[in-house]
Amino acid sequence: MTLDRRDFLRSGAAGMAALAFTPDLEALFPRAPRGETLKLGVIGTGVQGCAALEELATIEGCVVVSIADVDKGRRNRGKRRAPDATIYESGAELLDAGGIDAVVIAASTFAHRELAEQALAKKIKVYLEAPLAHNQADAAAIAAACFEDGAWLTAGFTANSNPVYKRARDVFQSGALRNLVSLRTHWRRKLSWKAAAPTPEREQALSWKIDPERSTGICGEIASHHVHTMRWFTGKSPWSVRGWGGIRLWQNGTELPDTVQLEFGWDSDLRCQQELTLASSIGGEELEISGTHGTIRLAGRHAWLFKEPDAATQGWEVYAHRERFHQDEGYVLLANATKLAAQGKLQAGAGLPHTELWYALQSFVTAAVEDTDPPCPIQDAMPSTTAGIKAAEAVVTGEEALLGFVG
Amino acid sequence: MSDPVLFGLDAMRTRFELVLHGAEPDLLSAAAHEAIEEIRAVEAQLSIFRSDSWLTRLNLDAASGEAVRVPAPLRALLRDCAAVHRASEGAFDPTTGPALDRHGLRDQSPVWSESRSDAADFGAVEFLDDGRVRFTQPGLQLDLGGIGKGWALDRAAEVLRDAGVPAALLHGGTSTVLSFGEPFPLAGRDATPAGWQIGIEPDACLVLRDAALSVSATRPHSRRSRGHVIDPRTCQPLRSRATAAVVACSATLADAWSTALLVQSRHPFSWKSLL
Repeated sequence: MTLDRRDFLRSGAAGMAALAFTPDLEALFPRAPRGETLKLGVIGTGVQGCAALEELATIEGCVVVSIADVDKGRRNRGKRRAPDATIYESGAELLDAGGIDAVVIAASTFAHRELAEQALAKKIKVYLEAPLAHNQADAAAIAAACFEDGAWLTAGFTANSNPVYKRARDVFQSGALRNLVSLRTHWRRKLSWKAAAPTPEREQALSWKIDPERSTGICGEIASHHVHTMRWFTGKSPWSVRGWGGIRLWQNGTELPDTVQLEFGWDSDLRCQQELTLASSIGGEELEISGTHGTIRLAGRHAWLFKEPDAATQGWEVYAHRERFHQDEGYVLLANATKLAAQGKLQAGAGLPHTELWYALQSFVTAAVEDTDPPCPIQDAMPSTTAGIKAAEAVVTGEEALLGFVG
Repeated sequence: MSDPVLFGLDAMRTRFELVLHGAEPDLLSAAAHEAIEEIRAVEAQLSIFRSDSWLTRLNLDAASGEAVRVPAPLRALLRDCAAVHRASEGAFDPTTGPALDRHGLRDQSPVWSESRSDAADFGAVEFLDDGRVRFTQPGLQLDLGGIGKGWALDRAAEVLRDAGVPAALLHGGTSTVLSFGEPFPLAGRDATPAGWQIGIEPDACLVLRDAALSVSATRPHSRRSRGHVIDPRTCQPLRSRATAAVVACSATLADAWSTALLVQSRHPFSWKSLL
């Protein structure tokens, strides 16, 4: 669909305009790192670890030489994804065996501290899945280890590496939204975190996400990511959190809620509201930043700007295609800004050519090979992790938790 | 004995359903959700309608002659495709997508939408020693729709078995079915059935146990089903009415072979090629 400037203005006056952000070419298709092939270990081959193995297999400049998991079934799944890798029965064994330049730690969150400390002590570069830890003491210990000489760690908060989020952040930072009105996020996935396993022992070991001793549940595992993205956009951190939660579906013996609503105090009278559930899947995951002149909506591989009728034209949106979102209609940035669309080979609005995890891992590999700064350093990751931990506490106590130290 | 646990989801442009038998409903339910996640993952990996799927990336990058790094599971699946392609003397060929487009038999265009030659030849997919894959014929486009449902079912079954589910029946769009374990007696009946009874046609059914079944059919008078199979040798839709049903050890192979048999129905294979 082609639209001229007049169409755009008419559409803006009629309602809201959605502009799909198309990032720079190099951001979509990053160059291969300059340096020797990075020898990688991957610890933890559950869902996240297997996803990492699949993505790493397509990333230039690295090779997975070893994998480890304490669970036999998961080791087998990992082996199918990295058939040439050496298999270890624990992360400690893998790290002791050496022969790697860097490690991806995708083990259970409660195991992060021990593994990260061991890897950092050996001067092995670390990609640590986010959140960093399930309690403040472990997070602080990991942070302390990161400040030792020669330590290098990047956290798995993916917003920092997501090209479409970077583009959206540029637009946000240009002042396109003017004054902030609200920050809202939701994450809905109908999924039991009680693992299915053939023996009670194995089930207990794998069901760590519903064990309050070993996990902060969806507050830690999910809310921390949303907090991180919002922090990365706004440049501010939350100062308080209140939370409400309950078990709406999964009566599986856990005390951790499967559904929570969180309200983070963000900036004087601004709040960030989050709604997270394992009991419903409709709507998936979205983050929304609203201002007086527009709203940015983020959804993984996609991001859009909805403009208010009184928002100024920035210029670039004139070249946007139109895309419909339910009752709203707007413009999608000309897809020929990308390599694919320039060749006429990609449908407009098709989204990123890789997953968010791919970009996070690719950034990690490049930074590790070229020995540059970590894409998501500990200083960035700590406040987001802390916010998740405090949110879980707030849900349990029913009281507002202050996060003043976070900012 | 608890009631069977039933789950369903829409994926890969069809309906998947899972029937799980076992003594612990909690375990069955948790396992079913994991299996559903696996099916969704396969859809994301093999979809030609998503820009970030493995297959889209391969089609885009390999089209320029580049040797492409692909994840090990996709490489293994492509090797299965190559084996059936060879053994079926080309009757199974997952490069017929452009021909489907040319005949207007696909109601959505793939992300990779440049018009390209109809010529189908999976033999032009080259597996390199370093694990990379390359297309030696320009314009090749892979569409694993003919085998993807089976692969999704195999992977979902693997998740269920690993979780300790004793018996299950899974299907994708009713045309590909996989079962494992011994189904429990139906309510009001004492006898344990010998397997899962599956109807193929009104007058044909079979009992399936620890195996997969795939049924492919063409209906020349139905536009919708007429076009879903292309003869790779002519790049034309199959026009005769036929049904091919295959029972195999995996749903992936059953899917591939039912398509191959349908294509080859008038010209039986030289069975030596299958051995």
